[in-house]
Amino acid sequence: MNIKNYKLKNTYSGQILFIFAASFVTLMMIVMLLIDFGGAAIFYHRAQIATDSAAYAAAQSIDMVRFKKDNRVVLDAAVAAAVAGQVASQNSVGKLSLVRVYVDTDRVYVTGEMTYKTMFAGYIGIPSIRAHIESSAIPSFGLQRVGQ
Amino acid sequence: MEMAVILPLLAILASAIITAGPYVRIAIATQQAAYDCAISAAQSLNAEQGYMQGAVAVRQSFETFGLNIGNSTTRVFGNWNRGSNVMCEVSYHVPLGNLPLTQILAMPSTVKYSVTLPAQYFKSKWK
Repeated sequence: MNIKNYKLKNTYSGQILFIFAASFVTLMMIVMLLIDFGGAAIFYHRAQIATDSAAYAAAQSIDMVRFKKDNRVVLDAAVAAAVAGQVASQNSVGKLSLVRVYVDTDRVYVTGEMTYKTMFAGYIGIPSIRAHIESSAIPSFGLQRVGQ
Repeated sequence: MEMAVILPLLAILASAIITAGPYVRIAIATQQAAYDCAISAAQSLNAEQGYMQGAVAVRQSFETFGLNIGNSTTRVFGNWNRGSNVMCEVSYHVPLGNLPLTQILAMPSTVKYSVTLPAQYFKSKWK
């Protein structure tokens, strides 16, 4: 009887299973979050590109009447907003919503929002991730950098 | 004995991480390449020049991300009249053989993105 008890006390077989079972759920959650955040990173970058594109296109909306009158480059706010909306929609498959298009003389500021629906993070209370993107642009007249 | 149970599960978890990382990188690089391509192509009012500028931008983008340009396909098309739309479509063929779990999970073998921008409205006619 004593020998039997002694043997049992010195058997460690199966301990790892208990530890792993406890940590597996945590590990799975980490991997699922990793996949979700990877998807969110791709989504955020897509939103950034759509917003940048919208700002780039809107920055071409020069008010020609004022330009001919005063020889000043000033953007037409209404046209800029319309162009920004169209280009943002084209480059985000309609998923980016522009919340603000603001024109300050020759610079246009565009703010957009896009919502990413998570695949797994919903189980821990994060059903979606909202990307808030800002971008601005000025007319470049076909030049990509100063001095070109 | 328990290692026989645990190891496959750990391998699956590790494979998911190893596969997800490159996919995210390739997707972001392809998006950036399409955007750079569209911006560069839209600076010209000449189709041939626009295509060349777009293709160079795609190559530079993929080089920046350390990806093989040979796995990519670029299409630049549209109308290079002032204010007309120029579209750049970039595809990247993911080397699935280097990644685990891709055949079991039926991962897509190509990542494709496109960006459309208007050609410069006020660009000079000078080339």
